[in-house]
Amino acid sequence: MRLIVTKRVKPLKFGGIIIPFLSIIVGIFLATIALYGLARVPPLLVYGAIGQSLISPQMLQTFVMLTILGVALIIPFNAAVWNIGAEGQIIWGMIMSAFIGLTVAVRYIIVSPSDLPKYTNMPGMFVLPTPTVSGAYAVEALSMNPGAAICLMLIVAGIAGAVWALIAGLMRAYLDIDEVATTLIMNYIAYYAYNYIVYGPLQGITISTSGFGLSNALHPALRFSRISTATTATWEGVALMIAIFVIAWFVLRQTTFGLRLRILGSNPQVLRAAGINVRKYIVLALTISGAIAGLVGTILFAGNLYQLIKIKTITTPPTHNIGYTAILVSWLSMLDIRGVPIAAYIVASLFQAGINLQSSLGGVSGGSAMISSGALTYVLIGFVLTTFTVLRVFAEYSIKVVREGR
Amino acid sequence: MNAGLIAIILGVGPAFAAYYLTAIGHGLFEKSGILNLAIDGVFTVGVAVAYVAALFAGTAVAGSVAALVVAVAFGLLIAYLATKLPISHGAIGLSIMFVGYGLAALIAVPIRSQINAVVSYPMNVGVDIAFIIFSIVIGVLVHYMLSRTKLGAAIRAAGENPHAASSLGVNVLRVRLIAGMLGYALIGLGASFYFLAYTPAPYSEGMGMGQGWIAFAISLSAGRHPILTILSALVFAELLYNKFVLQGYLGLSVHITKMIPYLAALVAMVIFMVTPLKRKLAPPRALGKIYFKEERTV
Amino acid sequence: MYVPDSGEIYVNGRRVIFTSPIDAIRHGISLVSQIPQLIGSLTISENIILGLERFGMMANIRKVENYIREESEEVGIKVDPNTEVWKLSYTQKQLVELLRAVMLGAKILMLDEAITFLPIREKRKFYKFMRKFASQGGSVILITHKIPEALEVADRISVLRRGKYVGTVETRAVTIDDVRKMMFGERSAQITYERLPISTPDEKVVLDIKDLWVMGDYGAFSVKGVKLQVRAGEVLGIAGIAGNGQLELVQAIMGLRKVSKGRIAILANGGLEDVTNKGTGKVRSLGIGYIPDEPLKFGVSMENNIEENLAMLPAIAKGIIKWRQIRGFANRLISEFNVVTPSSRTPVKLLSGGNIMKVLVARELSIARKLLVAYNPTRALDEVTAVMVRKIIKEKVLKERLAVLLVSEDLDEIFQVSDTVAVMNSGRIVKTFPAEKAERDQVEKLMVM
Repeated sequence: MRLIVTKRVKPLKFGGIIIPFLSIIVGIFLATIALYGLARVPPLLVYGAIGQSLISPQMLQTFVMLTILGVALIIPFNAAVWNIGAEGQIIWGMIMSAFIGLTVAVRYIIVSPSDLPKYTNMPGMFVLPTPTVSGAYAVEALSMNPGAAICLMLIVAGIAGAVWALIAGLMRAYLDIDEVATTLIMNYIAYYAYNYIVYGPLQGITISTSGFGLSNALHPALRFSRISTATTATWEGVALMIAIFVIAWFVLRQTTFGLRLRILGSNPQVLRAAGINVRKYIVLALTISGAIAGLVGTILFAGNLYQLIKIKTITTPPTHNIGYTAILVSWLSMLDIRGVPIAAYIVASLFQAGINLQSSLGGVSGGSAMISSGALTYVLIGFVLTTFTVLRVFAEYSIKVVREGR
Repeated sequence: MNAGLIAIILGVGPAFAAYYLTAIGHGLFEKSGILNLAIDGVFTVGVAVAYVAALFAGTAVAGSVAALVVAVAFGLLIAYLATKLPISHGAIGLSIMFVGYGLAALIAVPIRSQINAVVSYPMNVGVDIAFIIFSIVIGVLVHYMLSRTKLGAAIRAAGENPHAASSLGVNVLRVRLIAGMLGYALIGLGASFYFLAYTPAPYSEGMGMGQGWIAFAISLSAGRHPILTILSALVFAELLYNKFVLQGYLGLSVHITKMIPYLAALVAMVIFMVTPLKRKLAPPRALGKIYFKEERTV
Repeated sequence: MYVPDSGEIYVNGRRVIFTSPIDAIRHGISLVSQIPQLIGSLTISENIILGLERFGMMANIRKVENYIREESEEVGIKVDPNTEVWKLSYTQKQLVELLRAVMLGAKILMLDEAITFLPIREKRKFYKFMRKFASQGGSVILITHKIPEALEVADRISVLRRGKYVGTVETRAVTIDDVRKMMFGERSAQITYERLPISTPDEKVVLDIKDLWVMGDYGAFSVKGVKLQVRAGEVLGIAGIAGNGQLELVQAIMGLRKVSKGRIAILANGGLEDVTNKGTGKVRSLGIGYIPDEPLKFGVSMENNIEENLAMLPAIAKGIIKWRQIRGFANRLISEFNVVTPSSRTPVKLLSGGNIMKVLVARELSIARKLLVAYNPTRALDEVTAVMVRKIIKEKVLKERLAVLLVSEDLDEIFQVSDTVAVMNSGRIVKTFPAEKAERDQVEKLMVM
């Protein structure tokens, strides 16, 4: 018996829709088998958690970030440049946002406990909850316009992410070093740099933060504003998502730059024959991708966390590995930017499903309740992604099984 | 030489064995032309399987065998899919990595929450030395196989140019399946040593995650050469095992110390690509390339 | 390598079906082609042992070395089996290929232009070996376009023309001209098509090449000291059989291949500007159109539609693409060239080969302001369209004083449009004729010598 694989003359009709959906269904089915077989998680619980997550407002923030990151990744992916380093780029975005938000945009007033009441209700003042090492209290006072400060955070975070990706881009374009390996390794470097910074330059000044791997908290005026209390999503995040999506769509579809990026992915020789500097495009694709990922760092910091928190183990960064999860989003979208929000919605639901499932495991015996939501998400995402990777071959190829012997 | 220093040097044995075996397994597999991005996921599964199997069988050896078997299954799957179907190696590798991360938790966490015990290899200097010798012997064998036997030539041919290899008489699928089996056997073994000998602590979720990437970097920084990998694995293992010593000695922050192996890997990659070593230790030309031959019915 | 769509193959009277090169090797058939199939990073012994079934997977490579030494003496070549193949010269690689074929126990040795580019001394040695091989009961199929070579070594000569079998003759009974006639067809001597009006070139030189040396893919020079000039209002046709350095010459002109020695200059701002190794972007920016060989790989992006394939060129769109304008342009080209396509937004891969070619030719002609470099521009086109394309090219030459460098394996095409005919053989321009003085049989002879 053997497989015969042939390229289709015409791609499968509606393959762009059927295949992702089929993969999700088959993938979830396989995941339930694994969950039941290995950890006795009842399948109904899994389906319930997924169903619930599809309409849960809690996944909105994940959706926003995944859409932005999906767009960020689709740009180089279209050019067959594989940016696996969104994690590191987000981390640098967070670090630089924190740098702006915690040092440039505010100044610290040290006040004695007796003077504290004066500041607690003073407009524009933010009292850090615990005293400093010396027993005095620290108050954050804005030193610049909050709107300008937020813009500055975004700009600097974007630059930081871009520079981090640029390094890998230059190595790929000029030294021919595989960007998959470099961007990946650079994630770990970024994680440790982050830890170094939260224990060093950006460590907090209060007794509960200094030396504990925590930064000061962000001044409330610099925080993004929540859409509602039911969700962690913010107006600024949503606005950025829409803006980035529209701009990226425009660039990819309406400019020669975007057109050539898309051609670079399928046929670099054509571009060379047309006289286009392919290296420049590789570097730019990665840099732009890194810049957008850097912005997600700001969204995460100023929209959700408000504080840099040390990474205890490198498997649990403050990003919740969303930079890796976003790879799934861009793949599920079949590298078509219009598919990104849909893919992001599905993946955000699976992400949320992991959390929902975790909380509903409490009553299940056999210790599976101890499995973290992250691991459950990995199971769901992993199986969907694997199924999709295999099934997507059918979009362009037909596969027949024939018996050996004639 | 004082005893403390000897302990520092030899104590690295289990860590060395874990990283070294994983790295040469990875290198061996990639020599056949398949980009191996699933390594970290399978390593994590290997750790979980080793923990559970050793616990149930009551002996660490059983843990190693089980991890090896499970890893081989993954290796064969990846080799088959990436060779037989026109599939992106990166996509299938990372997908399986996610599956691996998830499965590891499913396998080990429920057990861990019920049983609070660890079965591991004994820890003493003799065992440390045994680990070093064992893994170097394996490394030499792998080197011999790759550079001196027909199988090795076939693996390298499949990695360099599978189409040409096929016309020279290589059955690319079979050779890649063998490479996947052998490579992942070593990765499984390495993962089991990582847990059962290097860090035998009560299992916690995510154990082993990221270590596969370190082995990836070790292999890459030695140009996938099994003998050179001894050196890079030793450097990495010493850096990781003795990070506290290093930290005190150089006065570096612990975070920077942890970062050094990764920086070293990046620097090593750059060095290889800008020096004459590029030719000698160049990655297989067809690494990660889709090998797809239009087949037509007769 | 290919499986036949129809027809049958018999070896020693038995019908066989080969689905892989190994199958053929098992039946004693070995192929050596013009392009070495060896793997560069492996040693000679490693390359050879891979096909030898008597060695098991775990066999040490050393074991094969003695065999190689013995056999190589037999074949009459000297090699150190431990050398990595990338270190070998082209000639040595070909000799290793031949050695390998013999060691695989070939009964039927197929040489597909395998010794065409070997130096004469090595060739002679090999002729001797072939004789011996044949006298010991083996068969050799030598595929060549060099008639003198065929006449020198073969017992019988079979001619294939455009995939069709023409006939077989006994070598003793024929002359070089008989075989040439069989190769080029009955109309060989006379011109059966209308020659397009000859243009009188201007004085102005658009492309000037001096002593050009370009390396091929396999470590030997493919272009050896070419010197040529194309003037405004001139079509320079380069005739030659594929693989004689034309491809490398064209790629070097377009900045797609490194020039080892020599100079390429293109007219810019009134004077000749040196563009040697300056990159394709520079060459293109001077208003040069390019129709490459393997157009589906290097000319158009199959995944994209016609409009996108137009807009990708810097000469057509910059920055923000005005799609409406591009669409108008695309539709104009579609109607002018009779491109059969549902719309200008149809992915190119869904068009037929001929229509893809039309899109490419139309695009490149539309942007060529000074010079068009074309490699087999009408290969995939039907006769009517081909003549039409040639007419359009010629019209641009006559009216807009475009200079054209036309490389073609199709002599009809060369004769129909060229104002000057040059013949390229083994990396050299062997002769140049003004069109009216070019004799077809003379050109053919120069091509196959």
